[in-house]
Amino acid sequence: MSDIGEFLKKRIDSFEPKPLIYRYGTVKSVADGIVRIDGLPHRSYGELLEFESDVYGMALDLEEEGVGAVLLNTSDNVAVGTSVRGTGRVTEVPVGDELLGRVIDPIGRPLDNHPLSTKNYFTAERPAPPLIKRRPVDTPLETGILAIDSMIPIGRGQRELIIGDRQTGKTSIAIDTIIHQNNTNVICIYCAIGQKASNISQTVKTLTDSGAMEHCVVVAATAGDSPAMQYLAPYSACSVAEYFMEKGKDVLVVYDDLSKHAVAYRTISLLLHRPPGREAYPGDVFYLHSRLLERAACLSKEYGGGSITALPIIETTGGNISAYIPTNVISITDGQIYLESELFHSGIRPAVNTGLSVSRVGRSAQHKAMQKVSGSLRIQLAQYREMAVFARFSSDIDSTTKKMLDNGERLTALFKQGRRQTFDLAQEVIMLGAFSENAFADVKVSDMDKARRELISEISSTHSNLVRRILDTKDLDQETKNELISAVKDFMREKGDK
Amino acid sequence: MRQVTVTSTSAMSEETYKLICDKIEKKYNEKFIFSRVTDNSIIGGFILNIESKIYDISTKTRLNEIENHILS
Repeated sequence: MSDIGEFLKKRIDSFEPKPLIYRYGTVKSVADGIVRIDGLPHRSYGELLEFESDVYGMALDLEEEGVGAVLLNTSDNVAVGTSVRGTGRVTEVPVGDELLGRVIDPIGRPLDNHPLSTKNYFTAERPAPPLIKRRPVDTPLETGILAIDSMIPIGRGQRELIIGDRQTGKTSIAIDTIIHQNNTNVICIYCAIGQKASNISQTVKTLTDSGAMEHCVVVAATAGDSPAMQYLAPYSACSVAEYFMEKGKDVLVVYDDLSKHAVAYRTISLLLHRPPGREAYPGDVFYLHSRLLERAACLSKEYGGGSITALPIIETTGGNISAYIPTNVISITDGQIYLESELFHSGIRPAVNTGLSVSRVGRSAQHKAMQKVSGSLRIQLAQYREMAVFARFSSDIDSTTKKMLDNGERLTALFKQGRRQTFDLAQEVIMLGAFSENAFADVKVSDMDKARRELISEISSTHSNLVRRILDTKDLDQETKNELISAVKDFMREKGDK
Repeated sequence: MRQVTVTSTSAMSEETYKLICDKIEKKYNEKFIFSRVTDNSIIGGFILNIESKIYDISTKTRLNEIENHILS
């Protein structure tokens, strides 16, 4: 009991009294989440305004006679005549190590039932790192997903778009990548925009169960939150990430998804009577996303060497990647991972269309070991796809073509991966190295998963030095390569003998 | 001339009120129109309202701040 007394005494003693000084205005009109306020001169653009009883708004229309604000949370208590206080702070979010493992809303209020306090705050809108502070992307961000790491590699500091129709596995790819960072020092921020609260809570549970929450921060604006909150969410998430980047850390930010973000911004703009443009989006909807994604960067060593890798997600309808918002974001990012419903429904998961997917950073974002085993994969798959269409219509196929078709089918099966099933670099290199040695030539397509798991476990146990060397050097020098090839040949021989 | 409203409890004497008004005029070096509002819910201290800028030195607000400070 006396401990509590001591604690309280200490807390009270540390209190520094300061007079509370603020400007206030009066609400002139309230409608559809937009509040017009009389008074309140000298506001900043985007300043946080506090209404009575914990209701907040953001000042987005600064006029001579007053202020137009968007409500961040709704309340019946905001009526004509309610007084409004200017907080003097442009919308800011708490940042710091204290956020790791926490779930917060875009203005930093905890959503996971424990109090949160941080020493530092960053504004939600911050300038992107200038050219002078940047360095080219040179380090891979391993996703653990074979199709991506081998053919569409992502580097730390890159922006790679995940785009596809609904239910094609976009969020799965992002979550699996986050979970795969478990034993690296990459910090992950998952920004949920406009999703169902039940989905977000399921995602948090998945992250917690897999041990990923320790190195994660979740910034969430549910579908029930005001459009202003949904608009703010990705900027807040990016500020949280920038705190870590400026400390020299590598950060991964997932924006799930920017389509809903654009819709929320459209809602606010139309309510503020800003002129509608194409598809009723405001004229600055490109700038909405470009300024967000430009903040993902790779800093040079003099500035700490940290990075932010952005994985924005865009949902298309009917596979139309030529629609307004998708084309905007495609032109901003450094590549896209294009997921197709047909592939998904025919069992190819992750449903990556390797023909249309690209990583503009490419080889410089790949470990040397991976570069050496993945060289011709895209071409093989492209040739297989061409052949497969052709072969459907002919009954006689010569043996060379048949071999190519079989090879393509097996390669496609090799790239299938279950959810929450990721591979580390050594396992990926072993699989691809074995494939190029035709280790799977006699395996039935439906048995590919079993066969590769056998291969991996066999080689991991009998050649653990090899695995160690690949993981440590991230390279496949001639000696290691020869050892891998002979290990694979041993495995093939043993299997052949059985 | 600018307006100033002083909100205090009924316990504040006329003398103290005059003292406050004089101090304000001296501090800003200008003449104001003062008006007085009695509000016992602020418990103690006073609140100055100088044309939509508020200086809140009431006991109620101070206690709220202490509460927030302890809970954070």
